[in-house]
Amino acid sequence: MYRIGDALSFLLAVGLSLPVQGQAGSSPTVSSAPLYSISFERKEAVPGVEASPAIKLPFECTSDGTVFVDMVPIGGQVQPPLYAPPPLLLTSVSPSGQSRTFPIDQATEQLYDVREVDHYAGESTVIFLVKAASENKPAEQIYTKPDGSQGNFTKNMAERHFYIVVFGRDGEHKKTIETDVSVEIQNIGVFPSGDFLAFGYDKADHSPKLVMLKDDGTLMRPLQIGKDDAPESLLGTRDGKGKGAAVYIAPAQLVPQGHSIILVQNRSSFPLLEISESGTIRAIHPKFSTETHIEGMISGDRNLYARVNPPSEGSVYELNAQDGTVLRRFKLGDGRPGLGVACVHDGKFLSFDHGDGKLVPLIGTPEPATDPASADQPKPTSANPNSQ
Amino acid sequence: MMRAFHLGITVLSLTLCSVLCSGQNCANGFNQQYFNCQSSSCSDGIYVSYPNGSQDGQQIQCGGEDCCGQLFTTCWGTGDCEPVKALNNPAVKERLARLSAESEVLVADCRGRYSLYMPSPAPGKNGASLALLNDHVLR
Repeated sequence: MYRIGDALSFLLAVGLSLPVQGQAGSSPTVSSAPLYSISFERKEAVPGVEASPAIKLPFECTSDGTVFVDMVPIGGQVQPPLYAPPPLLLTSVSPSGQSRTFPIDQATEQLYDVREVDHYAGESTVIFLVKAASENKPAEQIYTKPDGSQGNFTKNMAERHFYIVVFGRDGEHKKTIETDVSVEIQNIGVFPSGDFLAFGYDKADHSPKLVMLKDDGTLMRPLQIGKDDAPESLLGTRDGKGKGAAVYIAPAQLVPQGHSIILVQNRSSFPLLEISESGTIRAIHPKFSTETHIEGMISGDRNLYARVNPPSEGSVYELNAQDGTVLRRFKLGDGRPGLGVACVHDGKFLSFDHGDGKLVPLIGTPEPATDPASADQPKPTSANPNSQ
Repeated sequence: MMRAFHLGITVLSLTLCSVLCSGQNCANGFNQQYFNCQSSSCSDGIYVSYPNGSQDGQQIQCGGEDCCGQLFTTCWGTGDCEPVKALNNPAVKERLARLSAESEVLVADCRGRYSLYMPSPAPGKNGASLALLNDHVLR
């Protein structure tokens, strides 16, 4: 009886302490991070850049504050023989307003059926990962129309391969190399040394794979992801319960962080993985509740800036790159969404508007704000998010 | 009581005008509100439309409308505005829908502000949202 009583007391104590521990380890950490409000100031439109009213995310940034914007061409006709829409046009805008374009279609004219998979803006190069065929082997294919009748179309039956297309930061095409790995690559990055980092999945069992490639596209070495640091399979069905035919690939993002690259597994509870040039992987566990997920990472020149969901007070969190602690929370003024922030440079938040066919830069300055959830707490004293 | 009502209507009209007459000539859509107007010799009602923040961009024009001697400011659409017009092309819509299925896409609204692209819902839902607001909630 004594033992049963002890056991009940123990279970009760554990039961009571669990939620308390959860709160102490997550929510209070976030809510104690000072809240900042960001108000944006419009600057002169970027000269020489024809801005599309549609942009594919994510934005990218390099350490000098140059922003890379992936424009979706709106004009133009779908022409034979490809019947394909014009490719996206990656455009860079430097802090001084200089712009460059990286026309992937001109750099891949020797390839067939080019499909851009990913791109990455490095410090000295801008790289694209494309899947394409090196030759054209047209063959007639038959398909069934909605009314049951049959139609013909021509398909290139040549095998597809992954290619890395390398541009200089000035927009000049440098080289195109074929990768020599069996991984179905989804994300590509480049270290300052010129070596590549590729993230994707095994073609057989769909398990996540992280590999380093030499600058000639051959395998340097595979990297071992921790057992609990990534899902068992990168493929899932749309509703997550096995229902529905649509299959999606877990969204991921490679973000530069000094000489390292951070693998962000968006919309999941898996940690951020920092991969160094030497191939060391370090897991960074963001210190917020398990209900909060990272929607996407904003490039920053110092700490990490995460767009979080669900947004509470502050839709962007600044995370300590060492331990994942939430340092500051930011709410954007004027009802602007966090996904409109292109990058954080020198403590300023960079964003864009579209005006008369031009890109209009917005510079956001953080100011201390009162958090309604903790109005009795002391207000932050510094307006500089990088003052620590 | 009547004086307070007239005062309220006047304040509402002034507030609407301060929003609508401030140079903004482009809206994302419209909300409607119904008002009862009464005076010693008149009893009438009026629907007032004002811009909202949905995704269907339209150019707007605003003007005054009389209701029992009270002047109401109301607005109406005069066609798609830039850059939304370009995004309403069916081929562009299809492409944006495909892109947005695999990654986030931003599109500019009439004010030039980029926000998350969401493919249009099934036909019929837009019309229903405009009809949601009726005078019952105001009575």
